[in-house]
Amino acid sequence: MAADVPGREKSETELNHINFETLVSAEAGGYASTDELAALEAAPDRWAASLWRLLRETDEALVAAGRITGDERDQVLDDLTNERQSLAGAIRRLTGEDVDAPPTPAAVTSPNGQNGHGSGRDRGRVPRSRPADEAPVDDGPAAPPALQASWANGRVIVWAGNRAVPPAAEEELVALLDAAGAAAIDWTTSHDVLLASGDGAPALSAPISGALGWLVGVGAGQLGHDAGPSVRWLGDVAVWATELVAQGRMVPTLARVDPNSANATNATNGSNDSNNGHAGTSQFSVRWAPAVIDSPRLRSTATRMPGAVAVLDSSPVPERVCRSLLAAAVDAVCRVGAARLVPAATVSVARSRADVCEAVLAGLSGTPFSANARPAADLADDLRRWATPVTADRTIGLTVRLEAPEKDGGWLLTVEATGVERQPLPVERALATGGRARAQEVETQLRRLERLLPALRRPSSRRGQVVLGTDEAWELLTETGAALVAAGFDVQVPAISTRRASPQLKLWAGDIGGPSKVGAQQLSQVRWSVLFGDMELDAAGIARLAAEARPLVKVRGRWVELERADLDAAARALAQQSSTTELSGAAIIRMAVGLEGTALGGTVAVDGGGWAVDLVRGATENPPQPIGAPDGFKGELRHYQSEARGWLEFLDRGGLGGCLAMDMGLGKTPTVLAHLLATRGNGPSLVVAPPAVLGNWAAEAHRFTPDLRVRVHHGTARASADEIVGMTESADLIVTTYATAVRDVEALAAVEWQRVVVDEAQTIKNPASETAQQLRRLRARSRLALTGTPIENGLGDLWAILDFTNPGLVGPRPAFVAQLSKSDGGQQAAGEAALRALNGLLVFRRSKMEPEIAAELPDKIDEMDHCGMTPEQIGLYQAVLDRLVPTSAEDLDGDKDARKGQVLAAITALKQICDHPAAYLSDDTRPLDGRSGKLTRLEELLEAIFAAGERVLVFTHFARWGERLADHLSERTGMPIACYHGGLSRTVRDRLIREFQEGKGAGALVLSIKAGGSGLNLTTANHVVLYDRWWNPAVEDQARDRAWRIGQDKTVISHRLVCPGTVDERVEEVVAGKRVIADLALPASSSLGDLGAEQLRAALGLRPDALVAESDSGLMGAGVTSEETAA
Amino acid sequence: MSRRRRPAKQVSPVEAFWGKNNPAPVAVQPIRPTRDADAVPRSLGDPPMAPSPAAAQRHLAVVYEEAVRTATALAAANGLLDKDAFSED
Repeated sequence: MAADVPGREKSETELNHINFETLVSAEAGGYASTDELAALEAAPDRWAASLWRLLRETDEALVAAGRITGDERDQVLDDLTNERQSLAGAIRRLTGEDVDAPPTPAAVTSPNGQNGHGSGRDRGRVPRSRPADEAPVDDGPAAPPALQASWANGRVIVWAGNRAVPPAAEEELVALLDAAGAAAIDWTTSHDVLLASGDGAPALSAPISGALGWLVGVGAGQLGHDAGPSVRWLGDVAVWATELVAQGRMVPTLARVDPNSANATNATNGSNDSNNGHAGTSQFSVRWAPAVIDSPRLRSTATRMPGAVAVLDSSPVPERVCRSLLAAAVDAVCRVGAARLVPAATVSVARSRADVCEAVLAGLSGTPFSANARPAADLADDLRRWATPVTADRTIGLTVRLEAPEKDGGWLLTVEATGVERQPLPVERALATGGRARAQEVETQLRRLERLLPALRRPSSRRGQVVLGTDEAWELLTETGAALVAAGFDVQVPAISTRRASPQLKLWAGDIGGPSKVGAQQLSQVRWSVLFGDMELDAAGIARLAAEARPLVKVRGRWVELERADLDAAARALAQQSSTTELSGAAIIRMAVGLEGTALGGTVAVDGGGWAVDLVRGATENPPQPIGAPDGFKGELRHYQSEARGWLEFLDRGGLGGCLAMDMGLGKTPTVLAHLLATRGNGPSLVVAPPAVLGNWAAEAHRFTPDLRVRVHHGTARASADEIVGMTESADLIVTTYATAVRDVEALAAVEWQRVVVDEAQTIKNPASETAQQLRRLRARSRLALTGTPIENGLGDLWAILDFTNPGLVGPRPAFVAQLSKSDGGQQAAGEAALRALNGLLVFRRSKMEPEIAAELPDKIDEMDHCGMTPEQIGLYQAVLDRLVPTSAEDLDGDKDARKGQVLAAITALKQICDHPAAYLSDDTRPLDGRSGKLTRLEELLEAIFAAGERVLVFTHFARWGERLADHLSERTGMPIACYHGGLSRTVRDRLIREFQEGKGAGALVLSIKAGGSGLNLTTANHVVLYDRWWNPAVEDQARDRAWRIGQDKTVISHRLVCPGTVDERVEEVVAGKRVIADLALPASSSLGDLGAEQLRAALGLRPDALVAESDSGLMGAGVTSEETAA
Repeated sequence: MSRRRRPAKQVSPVEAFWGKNNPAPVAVQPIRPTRDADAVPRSLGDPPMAPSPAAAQRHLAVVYEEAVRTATALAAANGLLDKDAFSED
């Protein structure tokens, strides 16, 4: 060894210095030997310092080279740029830091007086080293200047330009930023961006942390095509960075804060090796780097990068630009997240390794800290090595595959490696295949996987293959799998469901052997099991699962963990049912619809065969197909009506009765008529209905099914008991009222009806009533109940209807009510749940609220209700007629006008009587109940409307009567119902309207048609009752339009109440345009004054053949005869 | 039968610089945040941070949670969040 001589020492030091930098350059260029690398690794600080020094020198040379003129300029710039790129790569490898873009060649002033950007308004022009390659000038059509964004030196730089047009001025740029929603960002003026055309584009810049939120919005598509492609590209990368952080795909790295970097402004507090007063200390900060980057996505994104993004980069490499931006964006998001936590206090200068570690943990938000360079550089290096498996370019991927056990075996977990060969290889084979580097990479990734999935470390015959227990498998399925995906592994496991699989009892029914009955009394052998979704378990299966630590079953293709409480309940239910080995068809149906209490509650699934099972299957698994209108039906059936027809046919096949529970206005009558037409010839059918809808049945049959032979059996002139059988032989359908049916029940019960239909079936909701009792005596192959409100007061209503349609089938009333009342949410919810449970089997429920039905409905429906006349009404009517209308020509007033007035007075009086006797008799103070057919019908309508929670307007021409009516209805319904008429002050009237409009749920308002028939907005009502008629249909239309107007979102149903055979009907005929008041024979010019006495009596008098006697209320019948409406 | 290779589409220098003015919209994949924020650092083992790497790992886990939360909020604010991200199945 040579003696230590000062001069020589210096020389050797210089030599060493030169040699060391040669080694640094060799490593940066990629040609350092192993020994040289070892020498560098022995002095990492010196290595880093040399790299930074060489970089600065190269930058200076690069700037100087810009002044070169002549052919060699490009060559020199290229060489220097390549050299700088090598040095930057070496710095990144060594310190994890990204080096900023190179300075621009030629005379450029930097923003901070060192390098990079200008500041303030002092613009420098950024020349481009090879403009001809990067931005040709005149190619393609011109487009208006668009917002563009570039990425350089850790900043987003925005400017405005486009192909073949001059760049926009700063004012326009600001306007574009404003339009792009980026005005709030703290932009600072930057150098002009020099384009190939020679134009300089005014530019603004902001740090990525300030622009990131906006860029993510751009990437989310919030700007559309208004922004230039370069802006959208930056947006795409910003979204990717957000995604990476949202998936936890990042790692902290430690970097020295380069005092010369433009990025260092927020990190340099004047502290560096020379000026902080601590020898050997530097500023460091944590930088978050993206991890587990999807390489194909990186390449694809880089390929799409417009050159404008890197316009400030003299030799841009798209993939490098993309990485740089991605890293900066990831770092920005992580810093914000970390800054939410309160950092721990640390020493002012981290001198030891432990100090630096503490400072790093406290500075994860990126806050710079001072540290002794050596331990900090050591830690930076260690962190880099620690993170390399997730930051290096990935060529190897691992796939975790879990296979469910075949039967009682375990769950097989295997790991495969991709990227070693074309096909995935079992990881054990991958470790032994290919070169050492590949094997090492597989090993590295496998270890990473093993840390997250320690089961893989268990001793096994093959590495990367292990059998998991149920607990372990479930943990992988529910938790660990997601962690593996987040960490960059591919995971292929069976599908799972975390939804609870509730147990349901199931019975299998089979032939009991020997002679058996068919139908509800048919006995079947039954076996019991429990369903969890589609997984069927018997008692043994439940016991086996209950014994497992984690009971997993596969339900509908997904693995589910069963709850122990459910398994216990299932076991109890099976034990409870084990003694039941035979059941009747009726009991099976009750089980199927949840009417039999079991330990598990709810419905019981049925399987096997037999009458009941076939029925239940026919209603659930293979629901009846819709059947359209039959031949001879004049009209079309809506889709839900066709479905109802399919259900009616299903009932016929099963010999069941049912309840057609379509909402009011959905057309139950034509639906049933269509079915009766299709099935006629099998015997007569009987319809029992309230008097008000009797005429409607006849009219609708005449309209829709003219071929159906219909007879109305009602009134004193109806067929006698002896004649009833004969009548049924000449008719397909007999229509009668409840009262008449009860009165003639002996004769009607002697007939074997094909079908008995009870319309407005809520009439029989009291099973103890005489009507309900007597109607049960009618013999029919099937019974059908029609109602829009099957549950008015409670589930007992529904039981009464269903027990009528299928006697005994639904079991006793208390059990029925108890079983169906179990749903939470009160009586209404229980009713809805019950209808749902029974729907399709014993009930066909459709509501106007169902969107698909609402879409089919017209926005308004007009219905006419034919109301009866009570004996009091008839007597009063006749008396008034006799008094006001002369009986002979001699009695007529000679004065035509006087005669006209006399007649109009008579008409008004008669109309009032049709409304109610009390409407005519001003001194009548008796109760109103039971004295008017119209009132009875109105009460029925209100009951149904209120049961549906809807609101109604009732219009009458007679204000005083309206007030009495409102009082009566209030008392009867227990709901405040007001009368709106012209005698009220404006204040009161406004209040009534406001209160009604603001009301929710059931409600009614009576209105005088004169005061309330126009101008009001009452859209909370969707029912309108026109209690009495007026000559002019426009007046009625206006009244209806109080509800049917803008703001109405339901179908409006208007109910017109008419008393057939009275002046009411004559008015109806006029309104309908059928005839003039007296007769069609009258000349068109005739008026009331022209009518003779006979004609007047004919016009206003009672027509006994048409009159509907309101006898159902126990009142006397009028002189009425049966009417054949169609032949 | 010989297969003819389709010639690579030439991109003009102008288009390479400015990009396509009306490109086909790039479908933005909804972001599904991880439920295991620190899976990546755990997969790497304890970080090389004395004196207690395990404590450092725990501290990192907390910071990762916050970072993931921040990114999730950023994604949600821009309508990028997978609507099923927080559903059970």
